Amino acid sequence: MRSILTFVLALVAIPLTADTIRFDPPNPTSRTPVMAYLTGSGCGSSSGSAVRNGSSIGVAIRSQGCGFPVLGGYDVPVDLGILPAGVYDVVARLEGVPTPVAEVKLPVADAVPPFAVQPNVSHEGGEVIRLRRLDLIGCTAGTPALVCEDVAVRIDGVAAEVISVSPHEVIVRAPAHAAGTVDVELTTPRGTSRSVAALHYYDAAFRQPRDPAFFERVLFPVLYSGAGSYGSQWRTDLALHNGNTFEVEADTLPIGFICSFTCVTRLGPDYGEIIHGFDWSTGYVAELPRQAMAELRFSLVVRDLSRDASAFGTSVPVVRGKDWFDRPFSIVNVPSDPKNRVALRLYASQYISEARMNIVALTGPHANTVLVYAIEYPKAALGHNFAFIGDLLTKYPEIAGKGPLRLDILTATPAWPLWAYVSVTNNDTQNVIVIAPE
Amino acid sequence: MRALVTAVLTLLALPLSAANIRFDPPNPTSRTPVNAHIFVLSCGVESASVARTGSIISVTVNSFEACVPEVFGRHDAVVDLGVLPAGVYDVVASPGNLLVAIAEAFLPVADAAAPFRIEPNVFNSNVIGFPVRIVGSNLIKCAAGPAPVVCEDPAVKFGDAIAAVVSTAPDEIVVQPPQLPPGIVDVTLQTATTSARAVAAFRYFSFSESPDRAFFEPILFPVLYSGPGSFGSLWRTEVAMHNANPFPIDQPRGALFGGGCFPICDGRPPAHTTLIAFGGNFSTGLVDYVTRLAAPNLHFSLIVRDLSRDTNDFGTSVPVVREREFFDRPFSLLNVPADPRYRLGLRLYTYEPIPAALTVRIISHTTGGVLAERNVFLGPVGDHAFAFIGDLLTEFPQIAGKGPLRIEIAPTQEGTLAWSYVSITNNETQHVTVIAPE
Repeated sequence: MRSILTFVLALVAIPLTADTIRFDPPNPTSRTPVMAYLTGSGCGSSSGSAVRNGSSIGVAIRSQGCGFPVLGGYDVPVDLGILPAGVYDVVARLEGVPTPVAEVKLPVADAVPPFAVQPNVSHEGGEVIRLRRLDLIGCTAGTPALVCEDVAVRIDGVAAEVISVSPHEVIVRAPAHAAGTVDVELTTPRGTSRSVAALHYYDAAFRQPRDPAFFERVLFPVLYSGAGSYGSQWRTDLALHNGNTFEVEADTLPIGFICSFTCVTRLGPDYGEIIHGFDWSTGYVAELPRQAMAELRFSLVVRDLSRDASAFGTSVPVVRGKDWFDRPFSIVNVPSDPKNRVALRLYASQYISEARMNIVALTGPHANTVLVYAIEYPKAALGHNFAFIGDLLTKYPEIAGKGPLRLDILTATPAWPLWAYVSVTNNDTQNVIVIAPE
Repeated sequence: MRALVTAVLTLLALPLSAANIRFDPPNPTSRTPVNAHIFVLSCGVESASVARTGSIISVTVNSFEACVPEVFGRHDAVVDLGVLPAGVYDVVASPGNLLVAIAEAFLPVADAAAPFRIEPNVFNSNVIGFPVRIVGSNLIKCAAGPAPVVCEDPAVKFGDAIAAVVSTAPDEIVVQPPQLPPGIVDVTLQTATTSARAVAAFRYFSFSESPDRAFFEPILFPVLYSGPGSFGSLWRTEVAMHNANPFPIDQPRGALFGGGCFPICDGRPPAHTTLIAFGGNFSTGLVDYVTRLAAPNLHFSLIVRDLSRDTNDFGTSVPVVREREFFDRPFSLLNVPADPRYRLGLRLYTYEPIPAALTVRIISHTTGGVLAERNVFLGPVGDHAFAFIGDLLTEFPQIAGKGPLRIEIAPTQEGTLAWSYVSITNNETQHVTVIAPE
């Protein structure tokens, strides 16, 4: 009976989905130990083990009745150890059941590659790729320009058109290739070097989701421009700056929607812009290249133009991958004064999820008392899920006057992390303060 | 001649300083590769090599010129120490042509798969301390049956000293650690049939020593000011911390957040409590060290309030800055106005309490042109360094009306970790907007 149940659950899980396996870190190198987390359900005592055979990694899960994927799942951690550079096919099976329940590719980059490859490119090809390293190519002074040695570049075995060569950089044009991660090979008269799992082709036809090894989910919690209550005239200014020395693909940024003569889909080096005019009050998730994230800067300021003379606006945090919570988190020192409207915005990184929330009094006769216990179900928004409580005091009148408060928020499963913030709006002046998890 | 200069400079460099070595990550395990950053005078480091003999790690810095530890003009020589077995290592850096050390520091490497964890894992050597919990699965055998459950008697040692056992359960042993001098020790658990050791797992500390970054994480509270301000304002900074850990928090630099004296007098913020502090006067900011083990489950908020305008405005949130949020490279503050209606206050912070310099470059968002540039010197204050420009428009009148601006901040020397924010204060309403790096 048990094996039939297991088998049925395994069949229910078909078709396979990569969403049931995630990796920590999502972008390992050959120097980084990797943990795989498999999302199951009702597997209280689950454990797993991994066996590697070449580029295949089989993960066995020991559990009864572990279905995939099920809401409110359970995470089974499996240590994959430190892996040589390459692209691995990770296949998860319930122990004793031959049918896989999840399968996903895991690219492991070379920790010390012979050269860096920037940036990711679309499967359609034709885009420029840079191979970079100090003194990569031998060049000598010539007339009128440097004379560099001949080079050939092959991308997953296919010759790429060389556009230019200089001592520290070779620029080539990417050939078309199916979506996936490939090696890049550079040949000079001095020999051939290979950067393993270095170039990622993404499918331009599907904006999201993209391979988390190469793309990081960035949440812009509010992008609203338009009329508000009490005569307010809101405008959200999203500013961005690319401090990288290479172009950054940005087709999932809202900027990609703005087209004048041409649509901007790549941000050039040192490119900066301030954009506004969107009406996405539920926020927006963009997937941006990990290799560029350290030098991509943002600011998000919500302004009430009707009060521009008295206040510049309010900053709202931009939420990077590291800022999402896969564990409980708290928003601290929230007032519960009727002078203010206290709104909660809750974001689930992806898919269906639930969020559990406690509202706790911090001082006074109710100190450390849980005033409210609630469950929220964020609904589908732009690349994420979202829930909004316009005024906590209206929804939960029992908290009135019992501030300062603490909001404890907990995801149903670490596989679906959450983030949230509270906006405190003065009813008279409409001044807004944002209290976010720190 | 070079050798003679090297010898003289090297002798001048004594005594050795741990401040000249930093480890990344600061708290490695036996599963984590470690880099050592060795800060030396700009001396054209050619290469660096590492040799390990037992618990001694010798780093040889080969250079063109003499290398001495320096505050200004220093070079950050990054050395890969690889993955190390659990233990405490003495890392000694010396120039290639001399057998004299230029820097030395201790590096604890914890066991990645320790047989149990210890909460908290730090203990003040100077006071009669409080019990700690040893937590793990099936640590000791306990007889099943009616209460009270009877467990075998474990012996717990900190280093070679025996701890008093306070209580036992299968998955948790509470002990009173012995009083020992500052340092890192192994913790051993012995039963009649088993023995388990957590290597380099516990740190005795003293208020008089510099906090060990392997066990304590610095948290920057950028401003803590309560008192009168300009235009009749009356400021109060409220800083709140929720300790979601199941153990109290040690703060080796003193108590920004203090515990109470009921039912026992323990100055540490207790488990599962929220504390709100205000009334301090650290307008240059304050660095508080907290137990690194606890940091992921500590949640903060920092709100600057003008009590004279409390009816109009709840206040402004200022980010609380964790160690990972400091920048070792240039970063930008985006979308800063240059409107005479606002005062633009720029606050600059560096991670170490030594003099430092940052280059501030003010750039037009619209044209990309550099409008102003200056090296700003930061002076040590407490456990960090700080500088303040009260109004950028007064300091750099050429930027007036040229907004929106991007303010780029760049360390002037390698290895400097910096952070900054700009406050935009409306001259009439005193409403403040904070723009921080995102």
